Amino acid sequence: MFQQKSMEKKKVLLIWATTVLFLFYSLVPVVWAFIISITPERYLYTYSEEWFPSNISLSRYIAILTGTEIKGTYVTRSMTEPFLKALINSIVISLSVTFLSIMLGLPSSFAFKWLKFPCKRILFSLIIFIIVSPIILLLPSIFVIYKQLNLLDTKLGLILLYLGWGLPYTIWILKSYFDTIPKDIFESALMDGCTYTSMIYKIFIPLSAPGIVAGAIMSFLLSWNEFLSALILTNTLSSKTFPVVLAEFVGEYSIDYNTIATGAIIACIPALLFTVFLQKYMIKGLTSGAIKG
Amino acid sequence: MILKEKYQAFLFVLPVIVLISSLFFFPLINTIALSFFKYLPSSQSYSFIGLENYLTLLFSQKFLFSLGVSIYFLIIGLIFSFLIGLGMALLLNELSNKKFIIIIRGALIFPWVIAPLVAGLMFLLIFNPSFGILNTSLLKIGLISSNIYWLTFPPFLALNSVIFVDVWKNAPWIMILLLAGLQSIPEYLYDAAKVDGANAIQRFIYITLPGLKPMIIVALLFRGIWVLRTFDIIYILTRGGPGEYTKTLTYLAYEEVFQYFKLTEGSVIITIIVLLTLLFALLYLKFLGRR
Repeated sequence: MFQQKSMEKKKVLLIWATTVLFLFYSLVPVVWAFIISITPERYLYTYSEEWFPSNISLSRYIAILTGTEIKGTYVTRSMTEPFLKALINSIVISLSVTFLSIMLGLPSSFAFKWLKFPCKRILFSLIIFIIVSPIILLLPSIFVIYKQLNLLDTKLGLILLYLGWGLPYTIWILKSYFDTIPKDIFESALMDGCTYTSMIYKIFIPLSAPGIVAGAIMSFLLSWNEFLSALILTNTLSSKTFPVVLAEFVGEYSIDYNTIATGAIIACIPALLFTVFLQKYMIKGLTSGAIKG
Repeated sequence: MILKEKYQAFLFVLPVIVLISSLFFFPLINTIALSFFKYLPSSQSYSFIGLENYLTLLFSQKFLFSLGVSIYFLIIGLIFSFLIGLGMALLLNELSNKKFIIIIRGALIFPWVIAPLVAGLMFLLIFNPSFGILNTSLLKIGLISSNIYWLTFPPFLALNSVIFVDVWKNAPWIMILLLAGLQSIPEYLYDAAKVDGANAIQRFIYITLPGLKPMIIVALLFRGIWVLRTFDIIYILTRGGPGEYTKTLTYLAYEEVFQYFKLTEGSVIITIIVLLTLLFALLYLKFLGRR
């Protein structure tokens, strides 16, 4: 009896030690970037003395989010304005992709789940192929096609590409959510003379709200986080996204790590909001497709 | 009725078909086709040369080296992201009846939610030889006596540093899949094993692992194919260097096409990536079909 109790104690201790270890491992890079972002300039090279700065300021965040300068430092308007413009581009692009992929994804995943049509299986296999494909496969040809269609360096170009590449993922999530809805609901609605369109809007949207939220989060993150094609297809601030400006900044002002860290933390804001408020749906979006297929 | 169903279904999927065929399959086929052609600057046209690009590239040193880097990246990355993901999943499963589980789960999943480029940036700040927290901490504890150049020298260390960042970023995805798998294993199996006198390790080997098997296969298949996606982290940390030590196939393709403007050579690498992707997709479909 006594032995069992001490075993229990050891187990609890082990669990807590592992928890602390994993938390440390996962969060140190984020916390470190945050500390650098709130540290005054020139403080950087004395870090070996102390880990947390004694005087902190959020002025860099304000400067980037309003596109203004910080007086008396080398954080100028020419530095912060690109950040602000790119941030707005990223928001516009990600929200458009999210909205369109849900709007187009709902009816088609409804069809994939409930309706019979030719080539359905082949089409769905192609969708799975797109989900596992890296975006680099498309870029050489997309570049040439966009050049001819004048879509290079436009927000529309990026929105279309993200939609073509990301919509399959949304369909996958929505369809696997539809899989959990009993067939009776579909059949009784059909008996009542419901049209497919009204069935989607009156029955399936309310019933699959968690799936829709999951799909929306995933398509938002996909376009918000994407870097490679934005790097290749954009050229000016009319369409450059936030990650592209961040990456350029590393090359251009290689000294200013404080501002780089600030940008990195700002880029994490949607991730933070999703993790804090919508974690359940995010995890649903993450697992639903992969498990049920 | 049946006809109406077909017609309606067609209307519903039409936008998707149009989008994916114009923005996915057309460019993809175009790229694959390019890999069989050669650009002639004199007449500004392409001429068909069959497999010549392939033969030149497949035996070139840069391709073989990049293939080796990718395979090493794949194997080491898979092993570590699996082990860390499994560890995290087992931990969260132990904590699953606690109230604060959502906070810990949120913290552990966070690296997966942020952009790969941003993850790379954060590690740029950590790996920095002179003020990065890694070197300063190690110096302070006394584990090292001089700065380590994590991303430049020796080149093999740079490759492992990049893989470390990739594992940090992607292990949470495996964690979530395995956690879902753990929670689907019925509790009574463990109780029965306990009655039979099985210890913790035996329970893990004979109940947990077999119960997790389908999820492990899915996780490894997907991570395997997503390793081919890793670009942002390499771009921001090393640009494929030092030398060619972090140049995976995807990075090599990017460089050939968009840095050296060798469209046809790059298309060959991309076609090889397509074939690998197809292989994984078929394995996955086969696996789904079996269940």
